[in-house]
Amino acid sequence: MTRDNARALPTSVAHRWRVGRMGPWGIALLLLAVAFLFIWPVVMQLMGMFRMAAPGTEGSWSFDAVARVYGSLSTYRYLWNSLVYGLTTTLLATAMGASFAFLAAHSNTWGRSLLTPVMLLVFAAPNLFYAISWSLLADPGTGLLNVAVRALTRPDITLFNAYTWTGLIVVQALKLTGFCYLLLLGPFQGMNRSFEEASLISGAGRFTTLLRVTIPLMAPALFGVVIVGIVFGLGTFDIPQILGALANIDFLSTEIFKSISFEVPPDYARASALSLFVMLVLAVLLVAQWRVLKAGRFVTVTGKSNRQNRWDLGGWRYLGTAAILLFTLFALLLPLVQLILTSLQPTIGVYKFSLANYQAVFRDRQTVQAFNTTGLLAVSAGLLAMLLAALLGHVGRHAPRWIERYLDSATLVPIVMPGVSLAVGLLWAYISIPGLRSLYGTFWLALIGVMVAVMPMASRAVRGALAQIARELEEAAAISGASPARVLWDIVIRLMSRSFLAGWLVTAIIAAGMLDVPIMLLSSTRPTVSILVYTQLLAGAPTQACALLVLLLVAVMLLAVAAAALIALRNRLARRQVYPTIQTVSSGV
Amino acid sequence: MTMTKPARLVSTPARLLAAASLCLSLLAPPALAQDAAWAGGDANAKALGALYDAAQQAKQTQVVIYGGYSALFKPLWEVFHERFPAITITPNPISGPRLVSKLDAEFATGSLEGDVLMAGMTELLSNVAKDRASPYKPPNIAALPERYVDPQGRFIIQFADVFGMVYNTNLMKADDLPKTLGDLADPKYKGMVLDSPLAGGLATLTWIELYNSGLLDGKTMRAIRDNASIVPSVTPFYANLSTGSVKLLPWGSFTRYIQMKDAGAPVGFQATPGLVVPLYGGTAILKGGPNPKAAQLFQAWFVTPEAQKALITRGYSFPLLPGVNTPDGWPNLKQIVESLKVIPPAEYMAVRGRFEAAVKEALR
Repeated sequence: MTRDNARALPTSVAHRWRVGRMGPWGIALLLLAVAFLFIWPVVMQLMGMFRMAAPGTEGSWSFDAVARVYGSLSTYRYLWNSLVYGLTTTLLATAMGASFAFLAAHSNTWGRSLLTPVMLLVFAAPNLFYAISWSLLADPGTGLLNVAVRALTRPDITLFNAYTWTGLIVVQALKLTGFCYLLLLGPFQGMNRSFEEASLISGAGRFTTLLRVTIPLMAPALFGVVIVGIVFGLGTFDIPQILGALANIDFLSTEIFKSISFEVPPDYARASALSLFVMLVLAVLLVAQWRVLKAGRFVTVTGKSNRQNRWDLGGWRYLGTAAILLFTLFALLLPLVQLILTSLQPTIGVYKFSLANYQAVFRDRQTVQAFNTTGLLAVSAGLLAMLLAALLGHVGRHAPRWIERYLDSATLVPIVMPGVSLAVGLLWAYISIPGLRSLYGTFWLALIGVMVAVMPMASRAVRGALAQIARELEEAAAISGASPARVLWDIVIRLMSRSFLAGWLVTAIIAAGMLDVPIMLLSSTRPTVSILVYTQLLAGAPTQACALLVLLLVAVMLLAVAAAALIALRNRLARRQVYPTIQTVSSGV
Repeated sequence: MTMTKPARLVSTPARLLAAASLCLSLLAPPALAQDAAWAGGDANAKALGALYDAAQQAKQTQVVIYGGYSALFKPLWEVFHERFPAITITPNPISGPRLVSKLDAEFATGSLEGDVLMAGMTELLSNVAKDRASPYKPPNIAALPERYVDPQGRFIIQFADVFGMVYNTNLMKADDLPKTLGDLADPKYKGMVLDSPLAGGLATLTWIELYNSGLLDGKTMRAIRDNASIVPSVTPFYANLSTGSVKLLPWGSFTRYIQMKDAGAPVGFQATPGLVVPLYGGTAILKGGPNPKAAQLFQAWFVTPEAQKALITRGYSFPLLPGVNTPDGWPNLKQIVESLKVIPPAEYMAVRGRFEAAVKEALR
C-alpha cells in the first residue's frame, strides 16, 4: 500500500499509522532526541567555522576561516580530487558489490559460498593496514608483486604501482566492495524472484531482466550504499594518506587531518569549512534519492508467496567463479597474507619470522580486557544502532513526509564529520548536559557515542530493507490489534531479519575498529583494541599492532561463524515447527 | 704459558652457603632504603618511600598519564610497577587535537580523569599557560639541571629525542647524505619525506629550532619543500624507509631509528651538525587529577637514575639526568644542544609565532 492509499484509510486508522500511538508529544520528543543525538554534535562543529576557539571554549566569532578556505584555489583542487576519488571508487565498489551479492543470492555459481566470509574479512581489515599492505605489495621498486612479475618476465618491468591515481582507486574500491556487498546481500536475498520470472516469461532476456527488473528493484539499497560510499570516500583518510601522499595527490580528508592534528590550537574552523563540502554532497545525494525513490515502488516482500530459487547461469557461471577467485586473491589473500607476515616480523620490511609480537601482545595485561571491551562495545552499539534505525525508519514510513525526511537525513549527518571532529562534538555535546556529564568516562557514554557514529550505516541498511516490505503487512497486523512495538518487532524486524543481521554485523565491525570516539569517551583504564593498536603505532611497534589486528580479525570471524551457526539453528528449528503444522493443515483439508 | 690452579681458600660448605645467600639477595625484592642507588642516594630513596606511603594511605592505586609518550614509554611503566607494586601506571596515548579537546572538556566540567600530562614542549606549555598544571617540585629535583625545571614547578623536562637524517642503508651511503641544509635542495634527494612545515608537525618543530638559530632562511625552506614529498604525517613512512620505497627522512627520530635498527632494518642515522635538532619532552601534574599523591610519586621517580637509565634501555630516548650516560654510538646530545641557540621555555611560544609568520611568507 502506498502513502496515498494510507491517506485514504479511515481517519482513526490513518492517524494511528501516521504517528503510531506516540501522540504529538511523543513524536516531538522523538524528534528532539534525534536532534540531540545526531544533529547537535555536528552543528556544534559546524559553528566552529565561525569561531576562533575550540568547541566549548570561549572565543570570538569570525569569517576568517571561511574566507581563507573558500578563497583559496587549492581548496577546489582538493575538492575535485576528492570527488573523483569518491565517485569512481564508489561506483566501482557498488558495481562489484552488487554483482557479487547477486552471484551469492541468486546464482548457481560455484564458489558463491566463499563470498560472504571473504567480504567480511575484506571489510573488517582496518584501512590503515590495508593501505600499508598494498604499499608493500605494489611498491614500484620493492613491491612483492613487482618482484614476482620481474622474476617471471624481465627485470625492468614495473606492472604495479600503488602510488598512482589508479593504485589509489583500485585499493579503495577493493576495500569498499566488502561494505557494499554486505549491505546489498540482504536486499538481494529478500527479493522476490517472481518479478524476474515474469520478465523472462514475457520474452525478455536475462541481461534485460537484470537491467530492467533486478537492478531497479534494488534501487533503494543501491542508493543507500552509493550515498554512504561517496561520502565515506570524500572523508576517508588512511588510504589517501599512505598512497596518495607519495603520489603527490591531496584530498579534502588529508587537509582536514592536517588542520586538526598539528595546528596549535587545532584549526577546527578550517576543518569544519572543508567538511561543509562533504555535507553539501550529502544533501545533493539525499535530494536525488528522495526524488528518484518513491514509496511503494520497490516492494518485493508481500503477503503473497515468495519464490527465491536460483538462476542457472549456464556457461556464465565459470566467469562468475573466476571473478570470485580473482577478487578473493587481490582483495583478501594478498593483503591478508601481507598483514599476517608483518605480524610475525620484528619490524616492517625485515623478513625474519617469529611469534614474538603475539607473545608480547598476550603478555600485556590490557589485551584481554581490551578485547572484552571492544566486543561488548561493538556488538551492543551495532545492535542499538540497528534497533534505533529500524524504529526511526518505521516511524518515518508512517509519518508525514517532512518527518520521514528529517529522520532520514538526521541519521546520516554524523557521516559528514571527520572522526576526530565528530568525537569532539560528541564529547562537548554530552558533557554540557548535567545528567550525561556524570556518565563521562563510563562505558555507557562511549556506547551512545559509538552508536551515533555508526548510525549512518545502520540507517542505510534499514532503509533499503524497509523499502522492500509492503505496508499492508504492518497495517494488517495493526488492524488486528497488534501494538506498534509488536508490529515493529514481529513484522518489520522479522521480515528484514537478513538485512538487519547484516547491518548489525557491519556496524559492529565498524564500531570495533573505531578509535576517535572510544578514546575521547571511554575511561583510560578500559582501552579498546583500536586504542591498543594506536598505542603500539605511537610506540614504534607497527608489527605488534599487526598482531593485535590479526587477532581482532580472528575474533570477528569467530563472531560471524557463531552468528551464522545460530541463524542456521534457528532456521532449522523454524522449519521443524512449520512443517508439522503444514502437514496437519493439509491432512485436515 | 702455564696456568696454576688457585689454592682453595674456603671450604666447600662455606662456599655453598655464600652462594646461597648471594642467590637469595638477588631474588629478594629491592628494598626502598637498603639499596638507594636507584633513587640517587639514601635521602632520595627515603623521600620516595614517604611519597609511596602517602599515595597508599590515600588509596591511590594508579597514575593515569595522558599523551603520546605514555605509549612509547610503556615498557618503563613495568619498572615503576616493580619498584612500587601497589601502584600501576595507566597510559592513555591520546595526543594532538584529541588531547586538546579532552583536556578542554575535562577542565571545563571539572571531571578530570588524567593525573599527568606527558608531552612535547608545545603541548606542555600551552596547557601550563591555561593554568592546568599543579605546581610540584619533587624532593630529588636538585639532581636535574635547573634549566629543565620550571621555576614555579609546573612542569619538568625529563627526556629528549634527536631528529636527524634517517636513511635506508641499502639505497644510500653515509657519504652521500646532505652535509648542509642547502644540500637538501639537490635533485638527488628528490622524494625525501617531510611533513608540511606549515602544519605544526615534526617539520615545524625542528625548523623552529633551526630558524631560531639562524641556520634556516626562507629561500632554503622553499627549496627543501619543493624537493620533498610532503605527507600529512611522517610516522607511517618509517615502514617505507625500512622497505626501501623511501630512502631518506631528513628529520627522522633517533628513537625510531634505534627501534628499527635493533629489529634488523637496513637503516642508518646521521647527526650532521647544523641539520640535527633535539626536541624535549616532559611532564606536568594536572590540577584536580584524581590521584595527586601517586602523580607526585611518579614525578619524583621519573628523575631518579633508575627511571633515567630505563629511558635509554626501554624507551630508546635521551635522559637528562647528569651521570646517566647514553651508549657509545649515540649522538652527543650536549654537542647538538650547544650547536643551536637555546629557546627558554618562557619564550618558546613567541619564537614559534615568529617562525610561523616567516614560513607562511616563504612558502606562500
